Amino acid sequence: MSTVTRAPGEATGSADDGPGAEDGPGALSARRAVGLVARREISSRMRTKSFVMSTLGLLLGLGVYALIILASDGGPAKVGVEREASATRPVLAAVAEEAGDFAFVTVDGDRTDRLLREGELSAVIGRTGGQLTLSVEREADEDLLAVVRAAAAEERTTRELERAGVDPVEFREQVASSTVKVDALEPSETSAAEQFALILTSTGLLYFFFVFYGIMLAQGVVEEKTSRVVELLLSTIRPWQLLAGKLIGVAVAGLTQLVVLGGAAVALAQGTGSITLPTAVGGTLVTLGTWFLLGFFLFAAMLAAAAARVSRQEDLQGVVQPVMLLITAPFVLGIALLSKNAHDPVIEWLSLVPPLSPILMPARMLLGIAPVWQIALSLVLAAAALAGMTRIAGRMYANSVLRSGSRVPLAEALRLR
Amino acid sequence: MAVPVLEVDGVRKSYGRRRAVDGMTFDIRAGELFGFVGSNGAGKTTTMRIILGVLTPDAGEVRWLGRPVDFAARRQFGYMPEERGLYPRMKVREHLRYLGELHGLSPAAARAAAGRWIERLELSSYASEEVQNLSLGNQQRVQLAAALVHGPKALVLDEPFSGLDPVAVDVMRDVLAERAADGVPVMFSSHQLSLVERVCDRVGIVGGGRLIACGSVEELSENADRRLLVDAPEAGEDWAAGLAGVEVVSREGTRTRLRLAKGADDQRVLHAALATGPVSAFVSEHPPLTELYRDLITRTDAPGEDAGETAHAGAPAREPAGAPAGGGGER
Repeated sequence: MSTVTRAPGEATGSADDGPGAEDGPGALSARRAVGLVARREISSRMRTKSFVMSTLGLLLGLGVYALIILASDGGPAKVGVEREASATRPVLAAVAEEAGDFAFVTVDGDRTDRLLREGELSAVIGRTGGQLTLSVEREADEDLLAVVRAAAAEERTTRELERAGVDPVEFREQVASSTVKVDALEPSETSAAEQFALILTSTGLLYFFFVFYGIMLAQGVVEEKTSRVVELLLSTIRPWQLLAGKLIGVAVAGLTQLVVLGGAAVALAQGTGSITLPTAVGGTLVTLGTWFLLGFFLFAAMLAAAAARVSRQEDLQGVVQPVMLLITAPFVLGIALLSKNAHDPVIEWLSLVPPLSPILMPARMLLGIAPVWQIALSLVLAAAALAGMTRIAGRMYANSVLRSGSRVPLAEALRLR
Repeated sequence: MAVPVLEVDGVRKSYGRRRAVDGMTFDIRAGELFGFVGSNGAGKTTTMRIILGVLTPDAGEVRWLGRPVDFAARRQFGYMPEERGLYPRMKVREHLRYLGELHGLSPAAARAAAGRWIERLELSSYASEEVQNLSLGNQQRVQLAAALVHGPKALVLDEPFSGLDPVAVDVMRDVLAERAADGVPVMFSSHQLSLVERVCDRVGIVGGGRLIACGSVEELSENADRRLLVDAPEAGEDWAAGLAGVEVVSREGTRTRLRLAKGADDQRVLHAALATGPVSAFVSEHPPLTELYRDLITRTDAPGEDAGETAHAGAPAREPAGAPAGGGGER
């Protein structure tokens, strides 16, 4: 380890034979250069307060969201059934299975008031003189009321049918088939809400990450220009190596946060049962991750190229605005169109085209309404756009990043050298 | 020692229609300290950035050991940019290691080199501080360490001494002298001419984007106007008037400071002085670099302006260049 023991005063020439340096100073493989830049980027990003705070903040937000969902339906509502009405219980249970989330327990008539007041039971079903009664603390749950009414109607029907000599079982089957039809409206109602939530979370999450990490990268580019550290860096590595390293580094930081948050969100969604995902959990995350990377590299390369044109953070806004529009537009479009009608052919076509696909396609995939060929096509197109875009972005970056002072004109940034 | 290792040959660079550097030619030899002086905007920084490949010249080339400087050669240079270039939020030791590794040092070698320079430049108590929390002077030491951490074969430093306290100046000077003693060519720009005169083996004076003089301070003074100090107690106000090529610079009591143009005869001055009565002192003075610089800049400033900036050669263009920021100011 001659290099280690060398005193500062000794000949610098001996730095050449520094042991352990595979290539020795003066030669640095492109991979190692990119890796070093990326590593610095990751460690400097993930150690910042803002990274920790935003992760915790988002996790907290998800937690609160989950709590609200849990609070709004805290498991099956317990409904007491008095002994007098216990004969109706099978009918009640059968009807309730279709209509809502209720658990029936048999209770003694004299304790019902106390149980209701303490919140043990949300309602008690009794029977007075052949009539079903529903006792509640304040207001009757509409679903429960419907269940009780249906059960009462069913009971009455059964009795009347028996009196008329019709087999109630046979008749009930037919009634049941019609009940299914009526109840089919309800799941589709909740499913629309679910879909909307799914679109909002998936596109929202991706949008947030594209913007947040894209801007973070752009600020990093400008910071290097402002501090002139870029002059030091570019005397030893190539501009594309610096850009690639930064992109990869920020992407890793972003993906880490996305996986943590996405994982938490999926876990919560499954746990609360509020959203049923069409694909396996892992598959969903892989989908989001893939699109995150594609979209991120596409947008971030553009943002970095735009950011390289200015030397001060104050000027950043002006140059990244047009690029931001490319991220915001698909998000707004996606929310507006997808939530209205996810099967709209316009959205189908738009979700194939690169600046829009990284936000629209994952939403469609999560909804399970994207055919495989469309997914494949959109991936191919996005990858092709990425290849072209990084080339242009790399050129803009290399042309601009060492030019300090006023904003580099777009034409000069794009000029071939 | 006298072998030129780093050559700048006919380098030209324009920003739009403005010529920042034009026909810049000089060389730096192995193991020498080369001072690069000139007024603000004379083209020093542009030249140094071209040497480091931060800028591409429009014409001309930079050679290292006789071959045009390529990327691999540049990676062996150490560079200190004019505006300090470090990540403000990175810790000192980490930063130096990072730069060392980027220059191709192994992680172990980079760690060792970072530690070594932190100690040498008396930064030990700040090693785990973020760069932005250091005083400007200490940031500058880190910046020097950043230029040195990979054991460069040549050093190009843009104003390494500006803003340093006297102790830091000494540390910086010693380090640079050490490097030069190891055979590393060290080039630095500075406005502190007395320091340059004390430290440098050779000086290059830049004006109007080109090198207008280059050499050791003695060599420069040989080519410059000579200074005479004459103490003639009985001489009148204008005893020296009418002597060809002689200009009175100042009079303090009985002492007269004179400047002699090229070819002017000092013996005729002595005769003229003796003609007024006794002469108690007659001294040939070595002009300090400050004055050499002022002379050279004044002499070459006007033509330089004309060549560069005809469109703007209005009233202020012919100001004496004593105030460097004044005349023209665009270069």
